[in-house]
Amino acid sequence: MRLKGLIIPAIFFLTFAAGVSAQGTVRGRVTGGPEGRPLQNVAVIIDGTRGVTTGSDGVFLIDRMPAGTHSVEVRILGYTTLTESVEVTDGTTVTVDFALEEEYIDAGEVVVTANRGASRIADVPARVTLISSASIESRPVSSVDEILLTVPGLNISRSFGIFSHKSSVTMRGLSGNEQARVLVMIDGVPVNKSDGGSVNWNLLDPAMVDRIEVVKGPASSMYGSNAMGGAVNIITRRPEEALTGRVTAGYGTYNTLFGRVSLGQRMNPGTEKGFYYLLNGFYRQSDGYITQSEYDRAANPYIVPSDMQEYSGSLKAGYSIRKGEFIEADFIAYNDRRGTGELVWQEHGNTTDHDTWQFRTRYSLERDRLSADVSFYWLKEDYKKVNEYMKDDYTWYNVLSERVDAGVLSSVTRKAGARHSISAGIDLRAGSVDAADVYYTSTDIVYNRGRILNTGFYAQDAITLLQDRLTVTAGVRYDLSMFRDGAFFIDTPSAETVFMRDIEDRDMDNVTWGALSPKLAVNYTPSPGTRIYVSAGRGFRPSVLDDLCRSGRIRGGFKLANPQATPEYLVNLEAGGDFTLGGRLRASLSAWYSVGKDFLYYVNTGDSIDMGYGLRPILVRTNIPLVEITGVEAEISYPVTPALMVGAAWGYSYSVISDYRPLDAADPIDLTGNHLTDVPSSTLSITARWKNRFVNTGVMVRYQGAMWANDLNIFDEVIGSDRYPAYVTADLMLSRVFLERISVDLGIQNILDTKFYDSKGAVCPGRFMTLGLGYRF
Amino acid sequence: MLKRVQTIALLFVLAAAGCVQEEPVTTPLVLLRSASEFTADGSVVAPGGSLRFGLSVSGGGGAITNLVVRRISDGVAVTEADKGMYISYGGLDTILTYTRGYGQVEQWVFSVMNSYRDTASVSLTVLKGAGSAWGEIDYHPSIRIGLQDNVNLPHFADLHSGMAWDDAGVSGYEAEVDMSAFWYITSGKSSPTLTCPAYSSALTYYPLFGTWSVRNQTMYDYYTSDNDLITPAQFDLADNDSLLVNAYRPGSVSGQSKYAYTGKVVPFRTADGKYGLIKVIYADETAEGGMEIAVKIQK
Repeated sequence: MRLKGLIIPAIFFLTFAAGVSAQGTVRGRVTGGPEGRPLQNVAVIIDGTRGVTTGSDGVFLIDRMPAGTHSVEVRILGYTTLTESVEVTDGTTVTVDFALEEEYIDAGEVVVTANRGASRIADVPARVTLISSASIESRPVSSVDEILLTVPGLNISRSFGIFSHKSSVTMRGLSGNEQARVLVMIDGVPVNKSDGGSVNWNLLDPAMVDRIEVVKGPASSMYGSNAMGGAVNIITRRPEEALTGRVTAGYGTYNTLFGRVSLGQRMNPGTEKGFYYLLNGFYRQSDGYITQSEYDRAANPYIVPSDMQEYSGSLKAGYSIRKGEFIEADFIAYNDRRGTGELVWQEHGNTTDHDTWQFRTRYSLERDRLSADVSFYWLKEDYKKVNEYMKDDYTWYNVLSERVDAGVLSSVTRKAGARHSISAGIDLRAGSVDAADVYYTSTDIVYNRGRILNTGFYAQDAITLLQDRLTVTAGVRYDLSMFRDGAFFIDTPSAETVFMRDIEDRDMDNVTWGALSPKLAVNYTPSPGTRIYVSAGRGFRPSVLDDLCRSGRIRGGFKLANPQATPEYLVNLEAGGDFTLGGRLRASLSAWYSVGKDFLYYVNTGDSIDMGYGLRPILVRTNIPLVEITGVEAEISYPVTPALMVGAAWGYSYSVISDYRPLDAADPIDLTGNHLTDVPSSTLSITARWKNRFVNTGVMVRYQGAMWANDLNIFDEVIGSDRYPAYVTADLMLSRVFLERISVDLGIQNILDTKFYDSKGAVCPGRFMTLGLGYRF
Repeated sequence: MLKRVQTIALLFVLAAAGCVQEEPVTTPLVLLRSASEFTADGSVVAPGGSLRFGLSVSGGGGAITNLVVRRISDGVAVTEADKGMYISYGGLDTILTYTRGYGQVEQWVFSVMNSYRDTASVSLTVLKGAGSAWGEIDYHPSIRIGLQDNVNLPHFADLHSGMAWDDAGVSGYEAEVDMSAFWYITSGKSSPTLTCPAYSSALTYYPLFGTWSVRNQTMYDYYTSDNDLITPAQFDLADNDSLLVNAYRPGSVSGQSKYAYTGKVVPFRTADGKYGLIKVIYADETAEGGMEIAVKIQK
């Protein structure tokens, strides 16, 4: 018994010892994509039975490998799977590295914007476009809004490239000069300013953007005002690795210099818990070019190139409490100065200047059946516009405007039973403007100020039927908007502003509006890769503060403040579908019909005013009865190989004023039947991106159709036509990574050097090239 | 010990006083020059008599950016000039000429502002003299000038002498030119337009102005023209400068006057302060056309 008791362990020991004596180690590194980035969490599987995962540096290590030949397979979603055979000998370490290529997959893209929580695009009964980081990196964009140029139905107005101090993104036939009708968010918090509805699209460097989600058509049932025409959510990057950083510097056309730096760290990479932070900074300056029309150049000896300078810093920091639960805060500080092309006496001439600070905190929880999200945000913009010009004499005044927007956004989604997913939330938003036009060549100071407060409640139920193939979504939101403390007045007026004396109002009436935004939609997925949807919804938007409480000069006349204007509404009926052909070709098609009621529009009051250079019409932004918009969008994409993706997107819209009533019966102007201005009749973009070992290449060719130039749809003296002409542009992006850490990017926008013009006949920058050199650590 | 504390305290006070940053002097200063050629405070001048003011202005710590001249006559204030400028060095010395009005007492107020929006003013009073002193005028019954694309008529007119020059002949006479004309469509309306060499938009039609060292600024009263406040018959009857001075409304003037159609009468003031009237005898409404005007101007 005793002997037997010793023999058995001895046999085990000898067997084990024999095994140990014939063991080796396999180690290696897995990188992916054309830049050769280390890939984390890659499954490394030995002989199909045993496995480990890579760390944040892409390295794996497997010890105690029995001597002999083994297969090592590496696999991760989104990349090709590779298998290598290794020969392990006793007591040695075998190194085997893997470079994976990205692979086209259709795993059901997930978006967070449409339902204020994670949803598969295929389940959302609306047209939602996701622009991935791969797509962003393949385009030579200089600003975030330019990323959206490939989305059908979107209208991006950026006349002067990086020199544009103002840019707007609208969609689906809505005028391109009215940003307030499309809600824009950064990481889920609104950045449309209550003052004018505008968005500072220069605030973020495109390199900070991880992806962009675009929800087309009214999204007011979830987001309230501004989302009348749709919503754009820009989602910024988060650190995923232990410590990573990147420094980039570059040079471009018009003596453009730029640099950016980022540093990020996740304290416990690979785990669900821990701190993370990401620091970003960027700087850009350029000598610029002459933007003015030939007409203006001939008339004005003070024209100079429109130059620019901007810089920004941001910090995002958060703590992952556990899987699906985190708290996060971020802060962005931004400053720019952009010349507008005229210099008489001031150091930099006519300029715009934004000093912007944005702060956001967010708590997010996602469990099996419950998700919740609460955000607080605060956005302050100090805007300064220097105006100087020489006409009869020298005029110099500065527009100084302090714009503050803040709010709390909350949403909760709970799955109830097997079929219901119920969402609800409360949003509180407040915005204010305190502005003055301060004259230095006369005694005048013109003030305007006001506040707008908005409270919104929403609820939505998404009911799944027919074994999850049919989803019925019904939602409604009620918003209460309040205009308060409005004032418009002048101190010490001279001839520059004395004509406004009669319209001073130091204590405007408080006004309150309510708006109901319902939505009903059905989504049917008969088979994977195919779905159809129909939806009906209504969106709304109250007037912006600038229209409520500021009177002043505008192009074509004088604008009167109108605190009595009621909100405008857009009722949208839509149908669409997605299809997959041959397993790879994806196609989508949408058609919609929208009716704009009480549309806010400039209308002639029938009065005129002498602003110092003869009589000009007095206009007021007020409600006109009916606008109708019809449109179609189509998109296809095809992965020729996992590394080569081609696509095309086409959008068409027809926007017409169906009923217009002048304020003054004697006013001969009747806009009934006229088209909305600044809306391209159609857009078509064709894109291709090819990732390879040599030079990653991205190409975009884009056609933009003609746009009506003015409300009357008549001949415009400056552009020499009743419409801005159609044009074609082409962009090219070439990039290459050397030694795994060094990147070189050559971007060429507008290769064909197409000249296109804005509403004042000013010209675009033409061909614009940048060369960037980056180092990753 | 106490002494040491006192010493330290004294040093602290001195240091604190030394740290106080001296506020820059920013208030501008305006002075009336007192030479005999200038109208003095308390002067007695008959209606129509000439007033001549000499001003010396300094901007204090900032550039001079604004000069305002106001005439307060029997309690009614009229802004005769409100001029923006940017004079950062050396100050401003200027001579201003006006014509005595009908009021019993005229108070003239001269205000300046600098780039910090600090202001200063000076004023004087001019009493009413007996009789009237309305001055003589020159009359040019026909000056024919071409619009911008006219190749036969001259483009540049001297409203004082009634002379007009073409592009080649104007060389050497640039400082005499007060007026040109062009035609365009503005706000959907055809507009024969009067302009002057200093008006920036005139460069569009007459780029030659950009090469001139002297570019006179003639100010046209567009309000009186637009509203037909002076008729051609009144123009014809004017035999002294009373109508010329009184028709001109300084609150509605510009370096260009649109809609100068046939039959319009446009009051103006030249760069050297002469008041006058232009009667448009005819005006074509094409860029190749011409314009015939009659001019009455203070001698």
